[in-house]
Amino acid sequence: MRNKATIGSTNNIKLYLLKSFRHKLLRLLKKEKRYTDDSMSDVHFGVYLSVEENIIENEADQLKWLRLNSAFERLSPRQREALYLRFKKELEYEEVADILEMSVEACRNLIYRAVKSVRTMIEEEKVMGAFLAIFRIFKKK
Amino acid sequence: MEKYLEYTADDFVMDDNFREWAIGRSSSDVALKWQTFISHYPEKKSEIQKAVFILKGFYSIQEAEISEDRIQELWSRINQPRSVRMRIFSKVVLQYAAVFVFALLIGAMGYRFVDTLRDRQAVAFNEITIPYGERSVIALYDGTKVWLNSGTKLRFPTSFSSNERRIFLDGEAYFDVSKKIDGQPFVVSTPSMDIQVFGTQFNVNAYVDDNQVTVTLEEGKIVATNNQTKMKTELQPGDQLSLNVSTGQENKRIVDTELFTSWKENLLRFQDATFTEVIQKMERWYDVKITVQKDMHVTKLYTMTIKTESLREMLSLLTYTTSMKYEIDQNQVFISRP
Repeated sequence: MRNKATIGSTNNIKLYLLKSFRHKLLRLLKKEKRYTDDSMSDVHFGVYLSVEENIIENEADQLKWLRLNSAFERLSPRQREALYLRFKKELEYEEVADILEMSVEACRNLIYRAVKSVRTMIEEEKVMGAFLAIFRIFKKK
Repeated sequence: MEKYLEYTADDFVMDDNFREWAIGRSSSDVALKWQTFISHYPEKKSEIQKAVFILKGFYSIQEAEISEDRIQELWSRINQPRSVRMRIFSKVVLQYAAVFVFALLIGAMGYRFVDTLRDRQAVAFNEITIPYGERSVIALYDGTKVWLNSGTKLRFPTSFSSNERRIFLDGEAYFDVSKKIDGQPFVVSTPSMDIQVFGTQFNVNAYVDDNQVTVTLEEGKIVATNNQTKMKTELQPGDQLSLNVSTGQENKRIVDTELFTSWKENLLRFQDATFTEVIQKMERWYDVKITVQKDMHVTKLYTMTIKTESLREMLSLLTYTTSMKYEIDQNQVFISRP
């Protein structure tokens, strides 16, 4: 822990807590030698999409939901983390960039590319087909 | 609102105002604005629907779940007084220690068993060859540590006989010999010289190609035997004995032993070394073939320490002190007059 005196005051408690929690978590992971470099790439970022009543109103939406879910799973851990911070924790791009230790520009790009690949994957029929097949097998059991 | 006319679904997702509205955060008049926008520009409707769907999806991101039991467990651990936690820790340590002691016991029993078998067995050998450009350190099973320099071959029996521990060396090695309680001597055998040891630290440089054996004693006592004349020479710490294999001439002198043992710390050191000696050592150190122009006669003596320098750095260092130029072609180096 750093000396209390050396930390400047903060008026953004949420950002401060997220940042220090992430730091601590990464340090612990490092200690356990689960991964050795600074990137989050090998760390599974443990978030997922939960089904909410208000999104799934009909069968078509259910399909779209499945596709969105599989698209999200296919993103890189860093992309998932960025989306989580931006859209779930509702942080500004500047704040997300701060936490992920990258420039605001790069952060905006990261998120934009993640959004784009999610959107294209939702539109793709192939993904749906594959996912539906799995879904059916699952249902049969 | 006009800028939104150009927006795709992706752009809408990225937009702050749109996001607020999509997840139902905006005030009623902002919401009304978006509704009018859609009714005015129905061609945007599908993009907007897509964006809303994605945003709602993202908004439903959940942190990986943690069970109620786990939360309780964590809380109870946080609330536990420190001393109790320490006791649990030491209990764990004890468990590990128990396993360790048990493993040691098994090992000791196995060792005794193998020991009784050993004398009856025919001698089999292990051989280690260190490639040029590399160095290595091994531990023999009697506890002796051996550092092996580039291009060294070491042959040792899979089990030592009961009257001596003899190993065979072609190359350069530094030995840290463990002392045997029953006085079983350790012998380093080279074609021209045998070195008998009783628990000590010393360096043997005996590359067959070099026509020279050099033994440097750092600690303890060793006896070197010339395999031709059977003449024995006793060495004291700091002594260095060299034998010219072709002339049979022996020479004992007192040296700064560190100069001759520093290679095991990955330092290449020279003191008053001739150009040929430097080149020879460099070849092994960097695993290169160095060709020196025939009529180049360098009479200079070199004193230097090379730590982590690359071959190129080392060569350019040489050019500072020696009038020469060099050329590197993969594993070949050509040194010539400038």
